[in-house]
Amino acid sequence: MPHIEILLENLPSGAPVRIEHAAAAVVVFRTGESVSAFEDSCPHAHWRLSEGEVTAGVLECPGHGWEFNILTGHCLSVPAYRLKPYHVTVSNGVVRIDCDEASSVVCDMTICGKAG
Amino acid sequence: MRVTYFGQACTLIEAAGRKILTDPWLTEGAYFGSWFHTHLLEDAGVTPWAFPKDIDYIFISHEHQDHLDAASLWRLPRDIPILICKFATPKFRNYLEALGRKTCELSSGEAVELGDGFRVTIFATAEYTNDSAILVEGEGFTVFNETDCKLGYADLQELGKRQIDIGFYMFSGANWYPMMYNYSEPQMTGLVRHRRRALLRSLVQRVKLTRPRIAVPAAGPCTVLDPDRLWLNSPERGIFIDPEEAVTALQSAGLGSEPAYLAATDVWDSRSGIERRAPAAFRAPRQEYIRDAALRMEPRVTAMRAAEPPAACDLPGRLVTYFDALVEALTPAVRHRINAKLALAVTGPCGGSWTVDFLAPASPYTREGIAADWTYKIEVEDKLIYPFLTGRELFFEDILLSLRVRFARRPDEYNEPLYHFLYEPDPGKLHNWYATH
Repeated sequence: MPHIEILLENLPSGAPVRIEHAAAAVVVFRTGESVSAFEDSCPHAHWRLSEGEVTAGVLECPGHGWEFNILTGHCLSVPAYRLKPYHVTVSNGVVRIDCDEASSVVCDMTICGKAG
Repeated sequence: MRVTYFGQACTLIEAAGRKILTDPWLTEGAYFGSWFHTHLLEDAGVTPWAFPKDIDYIFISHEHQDHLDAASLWRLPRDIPILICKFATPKFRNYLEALGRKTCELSSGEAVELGDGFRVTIFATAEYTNDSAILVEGEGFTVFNETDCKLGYADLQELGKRQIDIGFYMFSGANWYPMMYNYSEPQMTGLVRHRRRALLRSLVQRVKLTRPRIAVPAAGPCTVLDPDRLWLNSPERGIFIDPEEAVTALQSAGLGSEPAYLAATDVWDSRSGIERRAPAAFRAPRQEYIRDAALRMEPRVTAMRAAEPPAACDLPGRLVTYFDALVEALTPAVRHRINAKLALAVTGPCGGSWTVDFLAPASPYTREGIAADWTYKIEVEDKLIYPFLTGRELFFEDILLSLRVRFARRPDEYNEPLYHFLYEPDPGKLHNWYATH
């Protein structure tokens, strides 16, 4: 399965990181040793969530202020919405994000330890 | 190019020998006497009857009364074509045509050449609502007026490539949340603070993305001059932000754009820059201006209230018929998305209590009384809701925007499908929207 691999130590805690993929763009959040990843697009008006601010585990979309739980992707402002999640595993300091779509990874190699 | 600002989203844009007027709201007391301009236009000598008539085009972004004001349009020549966005339903166009106006619908993103290099492009909102923004190009200059429109990220990115000389932006809350809900005082002040901060952050981000040379906070807020509701103007209790506060937020962000406070009748000219033409009072501390304006307008607000026609006592039957027909027309999928018990507490001599149950198995969906398990409650005067039940008024959200309605919700969550239903209960539009959202 196409995936992204990132060194955990290269993910800042508390700030969203955008990783561009040929078919989609992913926003990655690190909270301590936990990592979550979602499509980097607000379901409201498709702003980049990676440009938002995280406070106490809640991301505020920079566009119009919709708020999301960064662990679950649930929208707190409009509960019917949830961010599209990507499956994440962390092993031996390496974060692996499985991508749904069969496409090559074009993420910034200064962030990605390895792209597969 | 020359742009004269007339408050809210109203701009008169002149270039290449042509003039286009955007969102002419030139009267006071929109939404049942509640909404007044940031500064009263008549203090700057602006009135519908004195307004220049030599205009080639009018653009109207959406149906809200602080953008589409029938009384202002009435004073503008009927042969001026009105440019509007082509929306999913013809409701907005039909309304304008019923006012006797010629409309011209433009597809979102389609640039239209109006002669001598004068071009306009309308952009539709990313939301369910019927809202739009406009880009005008002429004489080598470009002006963007966002109006109240929440554009999608891709459109804003595209606008960022268009070398906008001056952009007019929404910067303030323009609705009833959270002020008209039944929150405790500490909850309310916390929510207001949070909302104001998010609104200013959003403004900064939209300016950053669209990269105008000059950024003007324009649309959004109102001033409430009803003596009983002056508290809505308070920064601690209301979401109607002072434009100078928005300028400060933009300055603090250190963007490449120059933030500018324009008051009504100020002008931007591509040759000479900004010309300050507004009265000096428009630059006085805002709370002082509001206190003075409220005193002066009190007799007019009182007279507006006194002139409101009463409801008739066929209201109960009309209300049940109105809501039942709307809910009955919805597809089951949409009714389930709304998933609400809407309690309507109608006060006044013709009032009563009803609950609209969107999940009732069949008609009647609307029953007398407030259900114990209501999820959303609206308390409204009979005379405000009655004209919507008779069809005399079309845009139900006008009631909500009047700031004369109280709300409660259980749980305390935004039910967006219910809002969409109240905004435009077109069954096909709702069904199509929720098939993809």
